[in-house]
Parts: sequence; C-alpha cells; structure tokens
Amino acid sequence: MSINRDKFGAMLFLCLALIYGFYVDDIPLLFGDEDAPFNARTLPNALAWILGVVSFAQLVLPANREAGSLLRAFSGMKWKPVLMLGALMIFYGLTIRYFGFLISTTIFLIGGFAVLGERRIKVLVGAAVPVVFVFWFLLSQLMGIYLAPGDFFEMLG
Amino acid sequence: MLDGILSGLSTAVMPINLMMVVIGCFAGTFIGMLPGLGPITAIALMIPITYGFDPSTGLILMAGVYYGAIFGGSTSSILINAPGVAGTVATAFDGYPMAQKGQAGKALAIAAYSSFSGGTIAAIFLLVAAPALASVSLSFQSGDYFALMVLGLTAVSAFAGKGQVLKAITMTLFGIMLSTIGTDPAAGVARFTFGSMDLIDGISFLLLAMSTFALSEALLQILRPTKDTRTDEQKALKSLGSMKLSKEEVKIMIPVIGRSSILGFFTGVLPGAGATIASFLAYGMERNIASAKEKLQFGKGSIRGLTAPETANNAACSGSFVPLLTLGIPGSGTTAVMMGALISYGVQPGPRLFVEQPEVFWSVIISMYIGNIVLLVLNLPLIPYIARLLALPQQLLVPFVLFFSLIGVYLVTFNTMDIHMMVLAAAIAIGLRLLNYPMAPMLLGFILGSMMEENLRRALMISDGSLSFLWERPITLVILIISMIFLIAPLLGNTREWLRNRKALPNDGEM
Repeated sequence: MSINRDKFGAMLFLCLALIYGFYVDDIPLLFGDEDAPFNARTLPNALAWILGVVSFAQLVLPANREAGSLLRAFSGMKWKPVLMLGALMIFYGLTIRYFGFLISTTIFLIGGFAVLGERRIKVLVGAAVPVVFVFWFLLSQLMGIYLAPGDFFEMLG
Repeated sequence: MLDGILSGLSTAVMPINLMMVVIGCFAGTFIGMLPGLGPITAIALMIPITYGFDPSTGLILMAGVYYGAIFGGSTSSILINAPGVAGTVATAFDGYPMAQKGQAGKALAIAAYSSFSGGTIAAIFLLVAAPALASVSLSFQSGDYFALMVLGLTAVSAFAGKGQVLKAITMTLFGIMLSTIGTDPAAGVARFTFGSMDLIDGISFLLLAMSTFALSEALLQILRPTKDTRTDEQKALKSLGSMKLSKEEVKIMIPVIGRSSILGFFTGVLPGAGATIASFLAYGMERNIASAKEKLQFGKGSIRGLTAPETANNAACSGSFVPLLTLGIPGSGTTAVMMGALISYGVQPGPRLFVEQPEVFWSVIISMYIGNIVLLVLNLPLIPYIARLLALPQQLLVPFVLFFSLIGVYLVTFNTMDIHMMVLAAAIAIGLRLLNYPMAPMLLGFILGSMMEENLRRALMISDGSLSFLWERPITLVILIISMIFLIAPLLGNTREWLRNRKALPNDGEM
C-alpha cells in the first residue's frame, strides 16, 4: 500500500495548520487588545482552524484514484540538474555581494549552461559574457542603478 | 468621462507608451510560444523592468505582455498542437487540424483577426462597464469589500477544475497565511517573523510571484523530461501557406466573433473564470448551436471552432481588468500579479483610481486597442521571425530565465537573503506543483489577504464587534450568498460523483 498523492498533500497542510496555529499564541498583543473584536491574532487563528478543517476533510474523504501514488508523482524526474541549479542559485546569492555583479553573474550563467549539458567553451563564454556586460551597461549606465564592484575588490582597494 | 478618455488617450499615445505596447506584445508573444511558460511568468519577468516607469507605462507594458502571451500560446497550439498557455488549449481543437491540412497560415490569420476583434469589442465593453461599476462601487463599505474578496477567493477555488476545489481552497488559505507574515499594519506587532529582520516587512510579492511562477516553471522544464517542441514549431513555420481569407470565411466568422466576444467578456469579468474557461465555453456554445452538418466539422478544422475560443480568450483578458480596475480585486492569477505590481508603484487599484488617477485608468483601456492593433498589424506578419528566437537551446534559455528572475528581485532590495528565499520558495512551489496544487489561488490569497484583513477589521470595529455587518446590507448578503453557492456547488458535485463511483467500484484499500 502506498500513500495517495492527494492524501500526502493534505497531511502536509494539516501539519502546517497545526504549526501555524501553535505559533499564533506567540504574536504579541497590545495592552487592551485581548478583548478587542479584532486583534493581530484573530485572522491567523481563523486561518489555522479553517486550513486544519479543510485539510482534515481532504484526509478523511475518499481518495481520488486519479491522483495516483506519491512515489509515482516524484519518480522519473531529472532531479540531479535541478538540485545543481538550486545549489548554483544559492552560490550566486552568496557571491554576488562579495565578487560583484559581473563576475558572479558570469559564473552563474556559465555554471547553469554547463549543468544543463553545454560543454563548448565558445558557447559557454560567448552566451554568458556579452549578456552580462550588456545587462550591466543597461543597469548602471542607462538606468542609473549603482552596482557595487564587490566587497572583495573593495578590500583590495 | 470625456476628459478622462482624452487624458488616457494622450498618455497612451506618448512615444514611450506606444513603444511599451509594441515591446510588450513582442515579449509576450515570444514567452507565450515557449512551452511551459505562461502569461503570469511573462508578466512577472517584466515587473522589475517597469519599476523605473510611470504606473501607466508599467501597466501598459504588462497588458501588452498579457495579450502577446495569449497570442503566442495560440501560435504553438495551431502549429504543433502544444498550447503554451491554458487559455489556448481549445484553439488547438480546430487550429491544429487546419495546420495539418496545409492551412497553417490561414489558421494563424483567423486566430489573429478573432483575437483582434474579441479584444477590441471587449475593450469597448470595458470602456462602458468599468466607469459605471467604478461609480457604483464608490458607495461600497468595508463589509462589502470583505464580502467581494471572499467572493473572489471562493470563485477561484470553484473554477479550479474537477477534483481540485479543496486543493485550490487550501492554496488560497496558504496564500493568506503567507500574507500574515511580517508586521501587522494595524497593531504594529511582528507576526511569524521568528526574530528575523528579513521578515519584518513580510514576504515581498515580487519574490513570491517570481519564485512560484518564473523560477519553478523554468526548473520544471528541466525536471519533467518532455519533448522539446520548438524544432517542430520552426519546421511548421516554414510551410505556413497563404494568410488570406475569402469573403465566405469572413462571413462565417463575423457572427461567431459577436457571440464569443460577449460571452468571453462577461466570463472574464467573473472572478476566477479567466481566458481558459471563456475559450471552452465559447467553443462549446458554437458546437451546440451549429447545424448537424457543421457540427461534423468541429475538431477537423472548423473555422467556427477556431474563431470562437480565440475571440473569447482575448475578450476575457479585457474583461478580467474590470474587477481589477473598478473594485481593486483581481479575478485571476494574471491580474493578481498586475495588481501586486500596481501596489508596488504606489497605485491602489479600485474605485478611487477612476477618480484620482484617471490617466492610469483610461490609458490602460486605450492601450488595449493599440495592443490589439499591434498584434494584428505587426505580430502576425512577424510571427516567423519571432519564432526564430525559439531556436535558442533550452540549456541556454533556462539559466537566462533563472538569472532574470533572481536579479529582478535582488535589484529591488539588494538583499542577498531574497535570493536564498527565492530558492526555498521555488523548491516548495515545485513540490506543491508535483502534488498537483494550483499556484494561482495562492498568489491571489497572498494579494487579497492583507486587504481582506484590513476590511474585516474595519467592518468589525464599525459594527462594534458584531458580525451583523455580514447580513445588514443587502449587497453584502447577496455577495456572500453567491460566494457560498460558488463554494458549495462544486463540493456537492464531487460528493455526488463519489457516491456514484462508490456504487460502481469496490475499495482497494489505497489510502
């Protein structure tokens, strides 16, 4: 027996409703707001309850057979390049301030092309570098957006 | 009103705005032709570009992108039976068989003329309906607005499709939950920030739209191994055939355009029912009223079967602007993105927009005419050239989409945390898409969540904490009753179907 895809989704949202509802009490209230008809906790409380009821209903209602199993929904996919692109995006977020727009974006684009199977150096560099420079020119020279050169280069002086 | 129209006209014909209509139509057509990327992604990718513009210019660009994306979707529907956009699925029913008969050029021309006529007629309706509705809605109170927002959210769930109603409701609630993160605007206290300064202002709308649509759609292209259809599209474009229509063909099209424009416009006005539903309704209507002989042609290259959905989907695009511009309530995921962008420009869509910023209101309506002309005069003959851009291989295209999405959000705040949050949001969106959860209701819930809370708070304060505001005014009561019908009707339908299936099939114990 494998879990139905819809049931798994409902279970996730039921957990979310419980966690969200648990943290509603952490919302601070202003003095006298406890008895106000509407305070900062009113909508979150209502949302936690409604989502809880809706997802519980999905859990107990008969399974939609067309949804198929959870395993089937997540199998047969190309996870490796997507995970690598995810890692590349995180790396881009970490480097853009340190190395600046030009270098970090060039690395990101070349890395992205390479992850997706492009191996020709001419294409890798030829597609990334001109786009990065044109985009940099548009942003910094035409639109007047200041793009810092990067902490690394500022440290070098 | 005449002053407003003239002011809108003078804004719309400004060189920068005319240029934006053309750019928007081209960019939209290109993105709409790409498999997997829809109008929401197309518009979301444009938002960062529009930040430097006037609100009118930004909205004109986005409206052009919207039309262009629908038109681009029609092209891939007709040429290769691969609709780039859900709203053009019905176009393929008769458009593709026509292309297979060697009449691809004619099919594209019919689609373009129908889109133009549908869009133009609907824009005339919009010209009349929007100011009238805006004047009426000036008398709306907080309770009415709350009820309207509930209607918008329930309608989106109700139109979500078979077996998707509860999922759409779940996603709407999830969107409203996300909107509660950050500082409560009334009390000024932090909610669900967990002490993080990055969350104190809440989640940015642009970040959410970009990561749940642009990023996740681009990554899903890689994740799901599907056939790359762009080479087929290019091949099909090489043998288009004549684009000329005969008098008889035009005669067949005219009444269909009239009927489908009206149906499409009013379907578009309904919250939640957008271009997709309008196109299917129009196709169904034409087939039902056709004679027995004509009925046989449907699905085999019928002119009526192609004209109806193409007219209706463009008319619905114009219709969907009515609730956005007059009530400040987006009726679809696409208009939700536009509304988010407008709010970012400091413009609050709604009845006051018509009074306070008539140039924005009217210039958008006028630009719709111009957009339709651009699509017909420029895009149709240039389709083969626009399609050449599709030759860009996927391994280059996807990193560019990722880069434009990331940098678009980063350039607004210059906060690298946003890039990491986008990756997280895109990962969650991919997971939810694989679990078959729709994303548009979430975005709509996110946009309407804070407005709904504000109006509910105000209504409760005015009525001294009593819920009587929900039934004291007839208009509030009527809107809420319609919302309940929208919510209960599909659920009853599902229950009836389940009861029928239960009798027919034994349970296999699957959880």
